[in-house]
Amino acid sequence: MVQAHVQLMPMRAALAGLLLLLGACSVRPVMPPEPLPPVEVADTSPAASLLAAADSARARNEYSAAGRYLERALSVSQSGEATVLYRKLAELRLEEDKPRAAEGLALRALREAPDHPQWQAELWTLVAEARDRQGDEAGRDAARDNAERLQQEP
Amino acid sequence: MPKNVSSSFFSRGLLIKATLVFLVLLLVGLAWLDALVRSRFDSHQWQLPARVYARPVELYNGRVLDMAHIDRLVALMRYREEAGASTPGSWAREGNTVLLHTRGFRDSDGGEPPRRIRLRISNGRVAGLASADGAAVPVARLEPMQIGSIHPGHSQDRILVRLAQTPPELVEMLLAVEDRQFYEHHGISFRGLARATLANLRAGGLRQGGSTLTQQLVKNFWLTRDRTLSRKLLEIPMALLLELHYEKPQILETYLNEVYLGQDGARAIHGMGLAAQFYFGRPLEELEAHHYALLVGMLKGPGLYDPRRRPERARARRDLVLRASHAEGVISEAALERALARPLEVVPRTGGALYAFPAFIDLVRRQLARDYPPAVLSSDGLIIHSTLDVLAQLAAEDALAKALETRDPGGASALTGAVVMTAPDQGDVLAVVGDRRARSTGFNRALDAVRPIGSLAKPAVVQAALEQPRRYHLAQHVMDEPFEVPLAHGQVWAPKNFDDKSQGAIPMLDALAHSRNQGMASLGMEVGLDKVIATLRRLGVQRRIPAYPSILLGSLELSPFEVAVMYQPLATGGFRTPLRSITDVLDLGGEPMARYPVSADPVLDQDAAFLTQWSMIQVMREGTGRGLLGVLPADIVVAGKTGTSDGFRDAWFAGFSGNHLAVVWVGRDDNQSAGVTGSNAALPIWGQVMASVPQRSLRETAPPGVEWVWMDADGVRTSGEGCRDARRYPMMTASIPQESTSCGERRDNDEGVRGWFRRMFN
Repeated sequence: MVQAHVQLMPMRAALAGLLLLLGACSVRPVMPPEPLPPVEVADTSPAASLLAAADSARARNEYSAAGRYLERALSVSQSGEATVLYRKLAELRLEEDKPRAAEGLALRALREAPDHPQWQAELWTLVAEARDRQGDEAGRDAARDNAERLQQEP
Repeated sequence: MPKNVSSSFFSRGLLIKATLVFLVLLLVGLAWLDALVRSRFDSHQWQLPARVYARPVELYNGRVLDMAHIDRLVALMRYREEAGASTPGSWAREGNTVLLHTRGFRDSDGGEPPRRIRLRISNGRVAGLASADGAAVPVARLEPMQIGSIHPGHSQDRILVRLAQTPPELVEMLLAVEDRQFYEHHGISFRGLARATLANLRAGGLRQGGSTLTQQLVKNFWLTRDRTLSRKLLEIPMALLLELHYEKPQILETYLNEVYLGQDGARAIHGMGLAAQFYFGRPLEELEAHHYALLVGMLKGPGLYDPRRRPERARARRDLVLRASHAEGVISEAALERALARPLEVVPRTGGALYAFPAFIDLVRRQLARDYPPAVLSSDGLIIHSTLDVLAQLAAEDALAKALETRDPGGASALTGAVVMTAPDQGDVLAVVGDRRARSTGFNRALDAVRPIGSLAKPAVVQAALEQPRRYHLAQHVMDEPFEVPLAHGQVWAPKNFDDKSQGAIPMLDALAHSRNQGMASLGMEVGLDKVIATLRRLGVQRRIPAYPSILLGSLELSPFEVAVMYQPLATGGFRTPLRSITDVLDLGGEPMARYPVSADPVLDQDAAFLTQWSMIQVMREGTGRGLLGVLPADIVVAGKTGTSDGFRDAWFAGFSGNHLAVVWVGRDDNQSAGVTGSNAALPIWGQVMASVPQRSLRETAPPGVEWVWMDADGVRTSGEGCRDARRYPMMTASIPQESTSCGERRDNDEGVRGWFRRMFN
């Protein structure tokens, strides 16, 4: 079974390439896919005002305050909001030059992410940057590949 | 004559010499005293213990909060009921609306100013939040309750109050009673001394000291408390020197913070700020004339006029101070009458939040001791924001106490227990209960009762197996049948099931859900002890794990807190977030000093972790946790695991929702059989604890590497929906068998281009 799987990979990849090529050459009118609504915290959510406060603290370089706001937002968050808040925390850590912490939080944001390719691609890009700043080139490339693949999804 | 002359000259010379020597000695003595006074006063650092605060209660629309919660909070925070709630620390109720006037506080994010907020409660939730003028408020915080102070090395405690913040009326009363000439004298008051002497003569004994505030401060500050002549001799020059070097306001402020006002066990109550909290449960600035009068009256003898032990004497003394203050023009006639009519209003020593949660403070103390030297903790006046959720803590205490009281009335069987509750998203420790009598400061079972965890270890076995997706999946059958493992010295390990029966080949999922010992042990042996141990390590177990097969069934011994650590990655789908009891440390001025930020480290294969978590959801739906049905709202998805140690000594339940994790242990300190099981003793407590806090469901959405697959009864081939004995499992893509039954559609999910893409790249 392991063998079979390994041999399948190049075949599948070739097939995928062919399919993409065919897709590009197709004469059939392509309907632009309905864009997914953005992943965000609703204005009415209690987390929203804390998130806004965190953003302005961050703009003033007050990282402690921004972190505290974001953690408070996490503690009052509703389901579906955690991915936004972990991403914000990851971005904050990156700004604070703590790429290792940023990577973990970005991955955590991915774990909570909805089925939203664009959002996930952005998170993988964040992971890639955090890995790059740690000197983890292989990890960075893997994360970038994930991001690129997701960006190609409808 | 010459002899005479010489003798007279000699004696005069001697006298001069003696006088000179005396003067020199006096000067040296004074210089020494001066240095003593100045060095001590200049370098004086208040011994300010670190103060630990609970997590501030966050108020926002939709938050679970009912009137009973409000009642509990205002009582703990010593808010007084007052129409209109016009001053900080007061509240009012109008039907289902509550007006709260908060006190404000400092925090790393700046904190909150005192403000009036209007809170509408409906169906056990906050249904409206606005400022008193009607503007909508998205989120507001009540000031955090102080739950403890940390003062290793000494037992002084105080709340520093600046003179500018001290109510003028209090200062005026103090001067009216203790030192009317304070602003005129230079350290000692002859008029005061004369008056005192006269009064003492009249009374026929020593009643009044006649000491100025400066002298009293010298006594408190530099000298021992016993009344000796040498002390009296030093007191006067030192008071004079003090006045020479320092301004009146400095001396007064120091006095107000230094003065001794009572004893709370080993803790000495120093200063007006702490005395206000200790006797009235409120900050100094919220007090009124009759409170000030009591504090001023107690200066004369805090033990003698202790309002808790000698209320009548204390009241008489207070009234005396009030009348003297009126005579001196400090308060009006009307104010005097109003104040005299008021009772003492002293709060009980217990019943507040301070020192009410010893098990949690114990945890804070351990975390602080790692990061701060004792000297800093005992003197720098640090403000420690902890993670304690007072409402969750009280609910956990109640749930444990009630359940154990039902099972073991009066503690006749010596049954006890512990609870730890956390918020896995942030790693916050919300509640720690270390005893069925939660106020007890004895053995902290939550941190220190290290007991066999029983079946709580089984999810680690499942996780270790699933991390080899080409070999294992949840549908796969494991052998629930007797088997033996030879050990060293000719011993044999032969695991038995709880019901002494064996079910034969059953899916791994069922072996976990029904906690089948033989099934899980045989799986663990096949996966390998080394892999299971490595998984336990990644879950955060730091103790030595002996490589015995019995660890598969939980011979491993952990404390409830360590179990909470171990279950954290299971609750978050594979991330380790260190548990923290502290979030922020601020300095005395309220400036941020340190943060303990949230972190997340991926420690488990996330797809496998999703499956493990999902299988623990099935424990609650159809396995050993199903007894909980009806305790939590039906739509809340939770997961967990029961644990019972050999001989029914330890009953465990560890489980989590989307936002809370709780671990419950029930057993006996002497490690004798307690006749308890995870299902019958620990699970009901867990349910009560979890029902007391707002819950969010676990996500059942599969991560990208997991698909939903119908499997045949043998767990060998994929099947179709509706086929005979087919069951649906989440499965890592690499685990999905190629072989399929001929019945129905092969996969019911993840169809289309995206699924195809996913499968292609996995």
